[in-house]
Amino acid sequence: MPQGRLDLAAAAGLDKQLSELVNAGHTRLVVDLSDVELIDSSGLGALVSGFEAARACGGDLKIMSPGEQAALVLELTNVNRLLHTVASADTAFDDLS
Amino acid sequence: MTSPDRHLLETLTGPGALSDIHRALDDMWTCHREIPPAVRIAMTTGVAEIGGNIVEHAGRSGPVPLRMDIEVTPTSLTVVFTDRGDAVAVDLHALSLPDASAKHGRGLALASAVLDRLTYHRRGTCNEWTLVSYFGQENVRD
Repeated sequence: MPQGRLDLAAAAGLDKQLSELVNAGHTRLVVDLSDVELIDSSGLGALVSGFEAARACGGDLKIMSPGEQAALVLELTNVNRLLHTVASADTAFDDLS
Repeated sequence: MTSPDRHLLETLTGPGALSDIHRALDDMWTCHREIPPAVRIAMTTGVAEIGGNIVEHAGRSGPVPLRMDIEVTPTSLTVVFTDRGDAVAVDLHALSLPDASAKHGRGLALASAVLDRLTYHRRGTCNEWTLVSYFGQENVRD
């Protein structure tokens, strides 16, 4: 679960982490953004990379609890059309079951 | 507040520069709780993009001096970044957001979208980025 600023300094780490999860077979991912105070375009890029990797393996990546800033950035960039927001990780993939 | 309130950060581009930038902004927020939350979100987003861009590109061949001037008036918040990196080839009037599935290329367009004014000028050996958000009686966003 990313925390603080998901910016240029943190994006590469998240990108790597998501890639490792997908490569290990975890293709249904939920990224909890509740502790992310800021997300920038680098952070968005890491989430999109994770989404593409998960999709390529038949899975998906969704997000949970974006704050006001994250929600604004996701909407302005239309990335919210790719990364759907879910209310709970437990039920995030009920549609895929 | 009758005259503009100013805050200054002088640092070098490098691993800690982004933290310095956000710390300077946080220090300013604590002094100016009157600034509406929507303006705060917009400027924080713009600063993250432009500051990140400077740290990533201006300091590509080694750390360069970076100055951040913050000015608060009763109706506006302005951040001016000045760095000694190479000139930037950018047309801020021709920005567009890439497709949602793009992994790169959103930064400047996003900054431009959230700010009321974003300009770039090459002044001598320096790059100057100016970020402005307006608020107050005729510009309240929330």
